[in-house]
Amino acid sequence: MRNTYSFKSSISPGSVFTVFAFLAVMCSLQEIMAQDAADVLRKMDDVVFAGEDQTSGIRLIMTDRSGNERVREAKVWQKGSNKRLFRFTSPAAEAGIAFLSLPDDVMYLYMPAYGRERRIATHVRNQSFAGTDFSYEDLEALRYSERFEASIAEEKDNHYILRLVPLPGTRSDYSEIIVTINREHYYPERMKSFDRGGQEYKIADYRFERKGDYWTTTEIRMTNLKRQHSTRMIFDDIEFDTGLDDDIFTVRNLTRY
Amino acid sequence: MKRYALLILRFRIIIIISVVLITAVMAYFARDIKVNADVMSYLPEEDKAAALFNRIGETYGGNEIMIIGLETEEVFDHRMLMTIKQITDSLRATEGIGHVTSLTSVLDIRGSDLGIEIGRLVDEYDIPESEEELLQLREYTLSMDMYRGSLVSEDGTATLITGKILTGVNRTEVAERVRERVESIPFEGRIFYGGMPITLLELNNIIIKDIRFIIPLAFVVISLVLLAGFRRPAGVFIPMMCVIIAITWTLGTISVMGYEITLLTNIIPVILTAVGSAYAIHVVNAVMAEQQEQGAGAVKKALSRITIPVILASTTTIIGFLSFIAGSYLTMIRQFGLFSALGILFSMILAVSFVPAVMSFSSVPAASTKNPGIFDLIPRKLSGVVFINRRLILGIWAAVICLSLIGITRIERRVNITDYFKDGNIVKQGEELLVEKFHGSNPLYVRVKGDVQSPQVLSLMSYTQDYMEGFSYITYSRSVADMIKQMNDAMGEGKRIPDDHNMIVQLWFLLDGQEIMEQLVSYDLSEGIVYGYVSSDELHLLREIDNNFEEFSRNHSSDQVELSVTGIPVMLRRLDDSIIKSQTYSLILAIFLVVMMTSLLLGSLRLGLLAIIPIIITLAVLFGTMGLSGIPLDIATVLSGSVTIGIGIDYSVHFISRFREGLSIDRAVRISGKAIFINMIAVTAGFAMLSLSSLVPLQRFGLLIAATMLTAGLATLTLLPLMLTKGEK
Repeated sequence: MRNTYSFKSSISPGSVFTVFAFLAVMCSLQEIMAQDAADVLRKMDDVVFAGEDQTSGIRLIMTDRSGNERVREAKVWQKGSNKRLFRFTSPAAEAGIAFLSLPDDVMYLYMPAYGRERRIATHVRNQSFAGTDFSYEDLEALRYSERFEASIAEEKDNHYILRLVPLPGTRSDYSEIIVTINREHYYPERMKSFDRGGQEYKIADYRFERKGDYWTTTEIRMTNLKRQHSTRMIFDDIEFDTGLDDDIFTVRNLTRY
Repeated sequence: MKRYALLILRFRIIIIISVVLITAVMAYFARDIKVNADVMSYLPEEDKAAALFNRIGETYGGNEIMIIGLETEEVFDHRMLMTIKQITDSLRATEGIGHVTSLTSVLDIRGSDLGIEIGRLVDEYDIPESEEELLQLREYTLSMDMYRGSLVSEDGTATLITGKILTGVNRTEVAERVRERVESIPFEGRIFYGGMPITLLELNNIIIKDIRFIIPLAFVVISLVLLAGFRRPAGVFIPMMCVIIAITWTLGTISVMGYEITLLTNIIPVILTAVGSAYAIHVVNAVMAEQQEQGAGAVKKALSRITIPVILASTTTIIGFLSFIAGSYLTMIRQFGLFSALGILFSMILAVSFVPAVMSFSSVPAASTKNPGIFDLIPRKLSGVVFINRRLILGIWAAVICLSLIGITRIERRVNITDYFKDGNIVKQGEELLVEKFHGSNPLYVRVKGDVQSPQVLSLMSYTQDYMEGFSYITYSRSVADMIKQMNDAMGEGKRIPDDHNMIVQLWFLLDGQEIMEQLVSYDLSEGIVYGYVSSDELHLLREIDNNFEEFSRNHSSDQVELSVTGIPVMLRRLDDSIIKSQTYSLILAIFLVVMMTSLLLGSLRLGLLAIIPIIITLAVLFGTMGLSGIPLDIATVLSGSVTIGIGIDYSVHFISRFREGLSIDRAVRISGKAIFINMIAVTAGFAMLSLSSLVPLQRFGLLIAATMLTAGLATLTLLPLMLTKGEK
C-alpha cells in the first residue's frame, strides 16, 4: 500500500507531460529508424547488385574442421539479377560441369562425362552448392530489401548494423540476419545468420574494392558454424557492363563445351 | 594376538573417532559418484574393433544413433508431417545430436521427365496438405526400398526419426535431453525409442532407482535376521554399520579416483553386504560367545582367537578378487577386481578394529546358552545329523553335484541388453516395435578404405550391401554407392555404378556438401562406410555376423582397397567373449591362489585342499542352477562366481580355524556354525529382495547369490566336518 501511495504522489502534471513527450519522440524515432533501416538496406542492395552484367573468375577454397582444403575453380557470367551461368574449370575431372540459373528457379546442369544436360529441380534452398558453405539461397541474386524487413539493431561511427527478418511469404532458411553495413559506401562487411531454431548458423565476411564506377566484392568468406566448415569465394578478372548476350544463358550454350 | 587385542583396546577411542571422520569425508566424496552403464566405453583402446568404432564416430559424425518412433493411424497426414518436422527441428537444435534423418529431412534423388530432382522427400517449407498430394507422397515413399521399412513402416502407420549422437558427448545425457524435448511436443499417437544410448539411459535410471529402493530394503531384512540370530541389538547394528561404512569408503574411493559406477562395480555393495558383513558377524559372534566376561575382557579374549581367521579369510578373498585384474581384457573388470578387493580390505580392517573398539564399551550380556535360539539349535542339530547319516549326506551331495553337472551342460550364453528389461518397459517395447515394423537399431559398419570415387571401390561397397542384406536379420543397408546408382539412373544410364571415373566424379559434384555425405565418406574421399542395421542381438547371430564379416573383409581386401568391420553387434560379441574368458580365467586363477594361501596359512596342503571343496561344489551348484533354471550366463550373472569364492573361503577358513584350535568338531560347528548360519540366512534373505528389481539380471543375480550362500553354508557345515574327521582317522 505504501508503495502505491508514494508512486501516486510522485506524479505531477508536469511529469505526465514529460512522459507523453518522451513516448511521442520514441514512437516517431522508431518510425524514422524503420524507414532508415529499409533505406540503408536498399542502398546496400544497390551496391551489391550494381551493373547490368558481370563476368568473373572464382576460386572456391573449402576448409573442413581439421583444416583439410579443397579447391574448385569456375567462370561466372551474370546478367541482371536472375540469369547466371557457372562453368567449372578445375579440377580436371570436373572441368566443363556447368550450372545455368534462369528466372523462376529454373536450373539446368550439364555434365560433360554424360554429354547431356539435365534440368535440376532443387526445391531445397538450404542445400550446399557444389560442396561449399553457400546454399542455393545464399547465391540467389535477389535483393534483400524485397525479401527481408530491416530494423536498426545498432548504429556505430562507421557502420549500420541492421537486423533482417524474412517478410511474410519469404521462404528462407534463416530466421534472422544481422548485417554490418559500411556507413560511407553501403557495402556489407559481415552477415551473421541464424537458423530457424534461433541458433547462430553462418557468418559471411565480405571484402569490397572499388572497380571503376562500382564497389565490387573481391572475396566472401562463408563459415558454417554448425558444420565447422568454411569456404572462401575469391573473385578475379571482374568485368562489368560488357553487354553480355542473352544467348549465353541458353541450354544450347550450356552443352557447348 | 593378545598384544594386538591390547593395542586395539588402548586406542579404542582414537579408532572410533577416526572411522567416523573418514566415513564423513568419504560420504562427502561418494555423493558426487556418477553412474555409467555404457559397457562399450570400457573396451580397451588396443581392441581393433573398438578403435575403429571410435574412429568411425569421429570421422562420420557419430557412431551411435537415437531412434524416435511415432506410431499413429496414418503417417501421411498433414498434421502428422508437421509433427515430424517439429520433432526433426527440435532434434537438430539439441546439443550433442548431429545429422537427423526423418521424412521431412531425408535427401531424395529422383529422375523425372524434367531431369534430376534432388531435394527433400517432403518440402519442409511446403508440407503437403491436399489428399492428392499426400497420397502421391505415400505411394512414392512406400515404393522406394530406401524408405520403406527404414523411414516408414510398410503399412504406413509408423515412422522413424533418427539422430546421430556426436562423439565426445555424454550419450545418456543427450538421450535424456532428446526425450524431454520430444515429449514436450504434443502428439496423439504412441512414441517409442530405440538405440543404445536410450537403452543405457534407462539402465542408468533403473540402477539408481534400485540402489535407492532395494538396498535399504535388503538392509532392513538382513537386520531382522541378525536380530533373530544374535537376539541383541548390538548384533544387528555393529555388522550393518560395518557394511555401510565399508560401502561408503569404497564408493568414496571410486569417486575420488575419478571412476564411475559401471554395470560391474554396481555389484560391489552387494558383495560387501554378503562377504564383508561376514567378518563383522564373526567378530561379534566371537565376542558374544565369551560367556564368562563382558565388554573389554570379552573383546580381549575373542580378538586373540578370531583375528587370524578373519584376516586369513579376507586375504584369500582379496587375492581372489585381485586375480581379476591380472587376467582381464576390459578396463571395467579391472576396476571391479580392484575395488572389490579394496572393499573387502576395508571390511576386514573395520571388523578387527572398529568392531572390537565399539564392543568393548558395551556390556552385552552373553547370549544365554540355557535358552538357545533357532540359530544356535540348527547348526547343533545339523552336526548331530551329519555324523549319524554320514552316507546319506555324502549321497545327497553326490546327487546335487551330478544334477549340477547336467545343468552346466545346458547353460546358455546371452548378451541381449533388451533382455535386461522386464516386459512393458519402454525400451523393450521400442525394440520390439523396431524389429516388428522396421530394421533393428544396432548399427554394423564395414569401413572401405580406398579411392571412394573409383568404380571398383563403389562396386565393392554395393556388393557389401548385397552381402549384408543376404542375412535375414539385416534388412537395411546404406552407402554412398546407393546415391551414385540412383543419380546414374536419373541421368538415364541405369541404376548401376558407372564404369567411367569422370562420370562418378561429376555425379559426386551434385552430392558434394550434402549433409548425408559426411555420414558416408571421409572428407578427403580416401574411405567410406557401408552400414546396416541388425535386428537381433542373439549371441549366436552376433557371432555369425562377426565371423562372416571378418572373413568377408579379409577376402575382399586388396592392394587398392581394405575392408574392416565393426559396430555394436561386433562389440557386443567381443565384450561377451572377453568377459566370459577373463572370468573363467580369473576363477581358475583365484581357486589356485586360494588353495596356495590357505595351505600356507593353515600350514597344510591337505587343509588347503579341503577348504576349497565347498567352494568348488558351490561353483558347480551355481552354474548348474543357471543351466537348469534357464538363467543365461551374461555380463552380470557371471560375476556370481566371484562372490561364491569370497563367501566359500570365508566359511571354510572359519570352520577349519576353530577346528584347529583343538575344539571338537561339535564345538567348532556350534561356534563358527552359528556365525556361518546367521550370515547365510541374513544374506540370502537380503538378496531375495533383489527379485524386486526392475532389471532382470539383478533379479537373477539375487536368486543365484541366495543359492550360492545356501550351498556354501551347507557344504561347509555338513561336508567339512565329515572330511576333517575322516582325515583324523
